[in-house]
Amino acid sequence: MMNNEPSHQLQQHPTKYSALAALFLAIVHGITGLSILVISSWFIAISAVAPIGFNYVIPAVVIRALALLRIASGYASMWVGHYDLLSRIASTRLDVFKQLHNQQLDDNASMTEALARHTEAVASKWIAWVAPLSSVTLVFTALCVISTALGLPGAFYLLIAFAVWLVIVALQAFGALRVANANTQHAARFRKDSASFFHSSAIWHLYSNKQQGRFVHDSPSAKRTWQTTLYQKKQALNASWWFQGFVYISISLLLGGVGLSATANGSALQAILGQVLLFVPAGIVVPMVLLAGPDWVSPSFSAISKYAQYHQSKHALSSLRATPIQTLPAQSLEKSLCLQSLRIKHRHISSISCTLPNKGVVVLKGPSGCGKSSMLQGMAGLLPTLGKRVVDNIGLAQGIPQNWLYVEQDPVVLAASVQMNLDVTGQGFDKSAMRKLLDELALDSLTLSTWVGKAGQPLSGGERKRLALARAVLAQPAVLLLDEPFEGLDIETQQAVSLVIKQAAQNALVVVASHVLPRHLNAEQTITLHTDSPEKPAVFAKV
Amino acid sequence: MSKEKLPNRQVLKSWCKALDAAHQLGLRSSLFTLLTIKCLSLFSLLIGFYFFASIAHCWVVDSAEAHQRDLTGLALSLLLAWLFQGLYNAIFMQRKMSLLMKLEHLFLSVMATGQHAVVRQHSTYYWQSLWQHQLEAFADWAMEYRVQQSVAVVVPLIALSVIFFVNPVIGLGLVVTLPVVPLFMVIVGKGAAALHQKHFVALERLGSLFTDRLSALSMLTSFRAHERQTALLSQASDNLNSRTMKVVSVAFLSNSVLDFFATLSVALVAVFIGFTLLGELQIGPPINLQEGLWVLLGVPLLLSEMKKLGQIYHQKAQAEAACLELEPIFAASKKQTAASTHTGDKHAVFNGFSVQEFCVYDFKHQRNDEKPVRSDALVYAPTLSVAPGACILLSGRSGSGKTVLLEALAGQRPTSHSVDAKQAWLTQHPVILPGTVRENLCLDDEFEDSRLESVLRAVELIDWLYRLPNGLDTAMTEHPPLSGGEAQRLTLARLLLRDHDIWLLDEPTAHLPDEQHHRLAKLIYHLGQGKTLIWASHKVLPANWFNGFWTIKNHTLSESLTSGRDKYVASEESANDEQ
Repeated sequence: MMNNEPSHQLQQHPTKYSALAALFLAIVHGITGLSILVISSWFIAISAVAPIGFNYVIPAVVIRALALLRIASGYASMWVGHYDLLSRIASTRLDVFKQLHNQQLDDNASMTEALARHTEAVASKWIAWVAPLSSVTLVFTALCVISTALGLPGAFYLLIAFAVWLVIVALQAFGALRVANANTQHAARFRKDSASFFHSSAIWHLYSNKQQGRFVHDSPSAKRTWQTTLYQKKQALNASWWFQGFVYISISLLLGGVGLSATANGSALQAILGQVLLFVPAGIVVPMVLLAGPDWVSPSFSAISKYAQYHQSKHALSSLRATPIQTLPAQSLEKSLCLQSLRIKHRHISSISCTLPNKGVVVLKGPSGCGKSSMLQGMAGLLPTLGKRVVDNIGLAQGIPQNWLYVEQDPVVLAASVQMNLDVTGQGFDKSAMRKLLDELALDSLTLSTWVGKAGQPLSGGERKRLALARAVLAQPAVLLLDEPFEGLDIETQQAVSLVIKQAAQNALVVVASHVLPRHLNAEQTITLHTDSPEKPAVFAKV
Repeated sequence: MSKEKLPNRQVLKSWCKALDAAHQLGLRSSLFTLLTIKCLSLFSLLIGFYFFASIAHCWVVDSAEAHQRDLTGLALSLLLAWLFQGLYNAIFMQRKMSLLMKLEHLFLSVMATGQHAVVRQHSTYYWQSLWQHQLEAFADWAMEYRVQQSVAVVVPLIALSVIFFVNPVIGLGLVVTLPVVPLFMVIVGKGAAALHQKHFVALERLGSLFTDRLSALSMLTSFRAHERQTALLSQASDNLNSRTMKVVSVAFLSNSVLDFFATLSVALVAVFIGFTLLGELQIGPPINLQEGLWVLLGVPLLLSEMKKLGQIYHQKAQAEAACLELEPIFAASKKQTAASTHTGDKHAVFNGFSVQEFCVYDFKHQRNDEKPVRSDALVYAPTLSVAPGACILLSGRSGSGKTVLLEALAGQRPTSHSVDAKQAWLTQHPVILPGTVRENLCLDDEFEDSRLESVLRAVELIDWLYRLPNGLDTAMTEHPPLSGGEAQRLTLARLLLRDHDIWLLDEPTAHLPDEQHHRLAKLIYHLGQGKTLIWASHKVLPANWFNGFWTIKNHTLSESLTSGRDKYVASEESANDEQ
């Protein structure tokens, strides 16, 4: 499915041609559909009066040919349109991903889903609104031109219908953009309110009005978000409904004979063609087109809603907020890493000052919630800090050096094979080395080709931790910062993990933040973090 | 594997039916109302077609002006069709919104019953999307897809009966050919499903790569793996797209089948009528232009509603996915009425609790009405008694069910017996709201400032309060100016303001260093005099504080009056840690 060889053949960008082809096919599909109805009714009408010498074979053949053309163009437009859509989604997503090089999304869980949605909305531009809107516009224009040129009775009504449609569509677009904007704001508001609502679930019982009625009453509500979503739909339905109403009035008036005399003055073309081709039955064409109007025009109204969504998504993508991660070139430790009153910006965490050796295990202790994770990330350079990191007597700038690694408390496992998870940069590690490391970490149940992560074999929290540790150890970093590597592991596994950590510490500085310390993890040094007094520096002791 | 994951329509339908019956969502009546209005609208339109055809007949065949009767009929029936359509839109909007509000109410009722015990099982993001998106997906399906599904069956029947009435030969032809449509669609659908099944694993894996790698951005930067992963993503999307195209190439045929019959039926009916009018064909009764045109206009109605159903087909898949998540959660609300009655009694003063065979069950046991058996119990206590004013130490390994037991006593989980008293919780992680200090203490109640200050003094936070820039009106931000111990003391002050008889303490000092643990524990003990305390703790506490000791082992709780140990007590696990 996906081999491990680096790929040199990059995604081909979707060409304009596939989009244009899809557009053309969609228009053919629309035009043939309407033509069949018009020609059929005209054919029946003319058959009823049966002029002498009328060649009925040609219209019958034309009708059947149109039917086949419509079916074929329907399938083809779906196929080409979908092909275009897929390649557009792929290239939009790749662009977004490339754009996020060395950056971090602010609100991860909801942001990734939102990006998936936005890229899809942007990529579906052609299928979702360009094609339906241009198809209706083109059909309308053609109808107006032909019926006026031929002087069909009631052509005048078509011109008005076109104008009315344009007005309705413009009004709807204007409203839809406003509602889409309101929707985005309500959704953001709901996300914020509901997040603090759920975070306080442990104290819900303390509210005095704990009868369910009151509880429900005081909670945040998705009502506004839903209302705006529904309102978008309502706008499309309303637009369609008003157009329908206009068309029905026009038909009644037209068939009542109102305004017919105006168009019956007869153009030159009509004079030539009139008697031969059109005959009296041509009068039926405009009423037929109008009667079918609500059906062939209505896709344009839902297309306007799609357009508003597209607009919103495009804006969201262009104002994508991400925090850049500063990166530094590789920085090896020859002698020591010295932290001088290192503190995390904007956090109430005590600062630490200490000198760490270039090799060996250092333990960072402290109650949970005191900022051990933040401090580790600060040491790594993933969070902005105050104070200094000094490597071999030279100060280090903000940022994470290439060969320093931080392993999170709840580490990321990619949706990929175990091998690809261990070798994320595609360096091609020795398979037996990977296998050996997995065995040492008591991960023998995993084979290198096992697919893990989403849609793969589910891993426990402990297994994810160990897999991430293996990934970090294989990369042979100069500084390795591990956040709670023993949490949730049984005693034997903790021992296995501490052996691997000790082995890695022979050539690197390994800082372990943990509240559990296995017996065999001989720490060179222990740092204790406190929270209660931000002024008081952390104490550290040599063991 | 994948087959088990895919719920079938029957599950969704039967669940929807049960939900409707249990909570009076009015889905059945909405469905019926909308269906009726839609059919009335389309029927009026069909009548309008009759007058239209009749006028066309006048124009073309008789070369005369339209009869006044026909014109009035046309205008009236079109007006009716239009009004019904407007009514349909309005009712649809209103019913859908009210369904959403009912679903939200139901969702919040589940939250009110299960509270923290339910919420802590999933991430905030999970609950948010369940609330905002899954409920909506269900409402879409219930109000749109299901209505359209019925319309797509009923309307063709109406149109067909009209056509039959006008010309039995065409009607018969359509009756014979129409069933071919669903037949073909089923065949095509089966083919597409088989193809989808074949590529299922690959599509699942490749389809989620983009979001997966996005959520790993920070790690990818640390490893400098961004470029490599970009190349992989590009390769994967090529692969995904070619596989998807293979599946949809077949799936689209289903649409084309509809298109084929819809188009061809119009074309063939037109040719048939035309030839009959010309006298070239003589099958069945003679046709005039009016009848012919009426039939021609009616034929598209046979399949157009089916096509519209196809356009909202995705709603079904989304509702099925939503059903999977919602079903277990809403199942818990079945006994909601029972639960709410016993919260009503909780104003009574706690005067002891003593039961036998106390069982705590999993949430899923609320689903079936039959009585759960003892072996299903998450925690079982042969006897369980709490005297008013007692101080009980609850111990057990982590994961043995201490929190579950406390949640059960608080009425947040299904149990065999319930405790009728007002209970307050203190959890490991203090909850600090983003509002001011005052709002944090008062919540939705009102207290005088002197009262607030006195409780803050009691929990030794008065100096902290005086240091704050705006006193009680200082806002607590995302990183409030509080240490873990201070935050926990603030939550303790919150309890002191209220008159809950029982305090359920779920390791309130778990994350504090020893020195702070002792300080806070002493504070809780002294301030909790006169209350009934049930205290789960891993950390060492003086044994003489307690007059009851509960231990959970192998899901079973045993009571004793002595600690069985020395002066200080703690659970087994912390004893292990000390080794």
